Amino acid sequence: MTTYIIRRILLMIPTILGITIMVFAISRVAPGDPVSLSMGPGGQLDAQRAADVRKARMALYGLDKPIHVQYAIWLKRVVQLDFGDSIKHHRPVIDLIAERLPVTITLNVISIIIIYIISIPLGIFSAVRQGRFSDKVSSVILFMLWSLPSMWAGQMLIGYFCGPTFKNWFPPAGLSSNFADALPFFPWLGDRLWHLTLPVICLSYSGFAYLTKQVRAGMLDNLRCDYIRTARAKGLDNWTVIFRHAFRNSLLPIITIMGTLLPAMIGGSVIIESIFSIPGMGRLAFEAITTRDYNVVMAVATTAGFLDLIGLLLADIAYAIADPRISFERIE
Amino acid sequence: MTDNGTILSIQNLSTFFDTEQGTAKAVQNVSFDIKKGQTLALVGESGCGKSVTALSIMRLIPSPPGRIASGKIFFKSRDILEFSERQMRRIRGNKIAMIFQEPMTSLNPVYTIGSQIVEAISLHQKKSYQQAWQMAQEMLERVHIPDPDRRMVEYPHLLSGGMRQRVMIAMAISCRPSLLIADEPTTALDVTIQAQILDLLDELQKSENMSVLLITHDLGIVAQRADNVAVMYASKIVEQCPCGELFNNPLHPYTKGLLNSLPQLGTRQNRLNTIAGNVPEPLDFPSGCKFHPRCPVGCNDKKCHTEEPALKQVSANHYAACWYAEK
Amino acid sequence: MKKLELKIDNKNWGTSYGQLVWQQLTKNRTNLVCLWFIIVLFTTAVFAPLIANDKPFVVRMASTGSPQVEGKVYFPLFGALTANDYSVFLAAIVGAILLFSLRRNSRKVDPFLRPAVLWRQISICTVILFLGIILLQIFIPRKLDATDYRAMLAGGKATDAVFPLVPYGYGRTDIKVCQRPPNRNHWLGTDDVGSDVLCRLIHGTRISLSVGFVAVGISGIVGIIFGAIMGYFGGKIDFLGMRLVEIMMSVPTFFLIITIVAFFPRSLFNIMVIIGITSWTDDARFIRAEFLKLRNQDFVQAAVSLGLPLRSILFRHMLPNGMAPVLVSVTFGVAGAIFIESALSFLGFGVAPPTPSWGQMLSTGVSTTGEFLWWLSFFPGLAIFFTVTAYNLLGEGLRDAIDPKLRKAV
Repeated sequence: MTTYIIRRILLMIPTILGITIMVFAISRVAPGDPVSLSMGPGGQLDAQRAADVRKARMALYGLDKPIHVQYAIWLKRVVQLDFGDSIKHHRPVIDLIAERLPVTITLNVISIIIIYIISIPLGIFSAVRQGRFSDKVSSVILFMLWSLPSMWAGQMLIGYFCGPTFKNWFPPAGLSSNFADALPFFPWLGDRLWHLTLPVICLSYSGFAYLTKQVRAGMLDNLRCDYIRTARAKGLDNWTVIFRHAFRNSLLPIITIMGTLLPAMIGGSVIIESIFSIPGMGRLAFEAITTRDYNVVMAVATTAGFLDLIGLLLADIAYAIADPRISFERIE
Repeated sequence: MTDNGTILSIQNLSTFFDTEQGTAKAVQNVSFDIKKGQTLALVGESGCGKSVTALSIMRLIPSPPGRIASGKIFFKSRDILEFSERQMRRIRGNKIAMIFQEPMTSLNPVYTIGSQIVEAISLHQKKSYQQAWQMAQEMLERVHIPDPDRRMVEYPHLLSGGMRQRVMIAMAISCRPSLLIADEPTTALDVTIQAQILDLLDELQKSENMSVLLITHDLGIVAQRADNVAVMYASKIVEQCPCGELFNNPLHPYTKGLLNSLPQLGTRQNRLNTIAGNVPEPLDFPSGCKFHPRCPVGCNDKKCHTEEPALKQVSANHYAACWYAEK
Repeated sequence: MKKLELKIDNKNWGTSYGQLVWQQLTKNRTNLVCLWFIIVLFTTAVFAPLIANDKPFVVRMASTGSPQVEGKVYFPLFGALTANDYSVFLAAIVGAILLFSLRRNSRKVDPFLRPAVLWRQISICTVILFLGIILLQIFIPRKLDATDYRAMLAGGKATDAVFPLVPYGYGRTDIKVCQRPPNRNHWLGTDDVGSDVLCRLIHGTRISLSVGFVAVGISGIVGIIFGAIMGYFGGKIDFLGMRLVEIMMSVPTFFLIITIVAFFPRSLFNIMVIIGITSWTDDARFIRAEFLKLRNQDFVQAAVSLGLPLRSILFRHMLPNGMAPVLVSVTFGVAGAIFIESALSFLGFGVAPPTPSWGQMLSTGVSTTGEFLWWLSFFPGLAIFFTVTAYNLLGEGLRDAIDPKLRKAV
């Protein structure tokens, strides 16, 4: 088991290298020189800013050297967590990321927990009630949720629940209210959760729809298997058969799905954080792209890839624990 | 029904499946008895309804499409079709046990062998975990699995097909059932393993005085192991008699056809004999006698076309469902 | 060229796999509804300038004004159609011809010859399409007709005119009526610069569908080629290829896309290409899995032992057998591409106005003053939602139709 984990971590290293190569390659393949890229079409940059940009990029990349040397220089800096300075904020990028990363992680972790807590019982329930009216209705609703574009849902939720036009139940933006810092812990927590409600709903509903469908499909497949017939022939009652036998076998694909859900949600954070003005990494990326802050963009892309890999590693470890074929590898 | 040594008595059992294309009558008016300590072989081709009969006894027919339409099943003089689901669960695995055809997929891959047998034991008997574990290990010994203490903590994927079938048998007999239903237990196994499994079943039957309902399509097994035989065709029993009678004096044309198609040692055959035609679909049974389209004597007989023969006693202990058998 | 089509007397060929899947697919009512919806979308996209345009089909000039134009009849709309519009018409005609010939092939052509005949038809159609587009681009003049025909009608300079269904053009802005909710003149309201929402929705169909198709086409071709090579050769090539796939899959797709978008200029073509080259990993994995399974089958061994060239083995023998999951993935891919394009435009990284994009229209739903303009959020969002749902439903239906376990007696 420990060998399995170590092996997985070692396999991660070439992937991380590959991510850095890819991000680096994108920044190099881009057409145009740094100054005009920073300007965007139809803009004018004053001489001072142009000089700043040129200097920053020269320092970070050593633009006059051959390309593999440039990559090595950049990689060396990245390993020391030095992504350069943000052109817009005039601060080291790593500080920005350190500020924003916990927010995004919190948002995603809460969403994943909620997804799993709700989806699993719902999926089992609809598998058991297959074919009946409640199952058909829930299938339709789940499908519509899955196809619902998240920015539309977010915008409609804000428009309907946050503004003066209709109802005013939730705050439309931000992570905490302005006065929140002065509050003691529990009211502060409550305020924070109140702010997070709508973003978490938006981030999790499509993952929830997908996971429920997969749980249902997995359970239906497993309930058709022969060992279920054996279990029933032993005299077990229905719920024991469902939970102890069928569900335990469905657990493995459900854990694997976390590997698909996590990247989708990290990507979705960009939209959700932008709509709800939550100061997380997604919004940082959004701002950086609009202001053409390339150091930040590359740093965020690398960090997102790294986050994703860690999530996949956790999913793999959970899978290894759950699958007896891996966790009980004997030395025969 | 007095207890004159009859463990199981099935009377006019009918099981139907309601599908979109119509109602498939998988089992119609099936009746037979099994006495204590005896083996009844239920013989027939694939699709004739043998497995459905077995599942009906255990009441494991999946309920939305399937239903037991009529009949009585007396197990130790009580009609188990009248039982509630709860009472039925006390019987399953406990008094009536079943082993299936596919040992490779019949065990749950994520639980150890030991825990699966222990589950069967502790479900029906009041034993502590240690006692149940001990019992399970003894069961593995009784089915001649080598190194039982190691096997107890292993997972099914480490065992071969024959071993898994032994584990299934161990699970089935762990509560000392009075009736063991074996649904083609050796079909998926190698020939050498087949013999071992059948010997094991024999041995257990003798030591436990257990009755066995052996479902098979292999007449060789029937000849060796069965006391009584019932031949099924297209959802009905067409012949029923003691084993020797079947091979010496088959009455139904289907049985005759089956025996005829067995390859004979010592004679020279250019071609194997077959029964012409195909087994009918449950949704599309022929009228009259269901065998008449393929019957060498009945295919031209108007009576066989229109009237279905009932299972009638032709001689002592020998029943046949054929208009020609009575002659 | 050899005459490939022989007159065959015995037409009783069994149903091919493709026909089976089609029959199974069209049995379900939901799938039929989705197919019809997609056909309607396509028709809207192709005929968009004829449905929503601020130039009338025909206009008759009035007696006032110069005597040369008095009483004359003009056809402004047809004159204002651009080379792009004509190219789209040509592409639609060619596509329809291809579909009909597909049907004819299944009736009249021997199954063994069908692929060769189909390739010949596809090549002819592609050549005609390219030549046509080039000729159109050269010969159709780029005119810009900015006359306001409605004002002419109102002002009496023209007597009568026949306008299309939605008498607004997507480029026409009219600040006087900006941000109006749905009313009699503008059935779905106007946006922040005064353009009619319904008209922009209709023209936005073109953008969405073209992004869907081109992006999925690129990702499909790249994915199939990669997957086929990885699956067929196995070993080292497979190992390296899978590492590349893993690297691409470990960066969240959306992050990757916006990273690339950050560095490249904004244009529709760039977006299509970017979405295409970031989504090929799924298709590659499916094809690789199928090819790994197929590689050991006897018919492949037979093809290899006959000495057939590699491209023939891969694409003529193995690919038709392994296509099924890719078809499903492609359908879901179109839905995904449309969604990504809307998200990009919503965030401001996609196509720029005045090009109509549903996502961009969605972003104007909350005005700069914080007011919620529900019609600017609801209708574009609904358009995206319906389109994505239709493709998703179709993908699910296709998946069920291909799965042999679910096949009922045909």
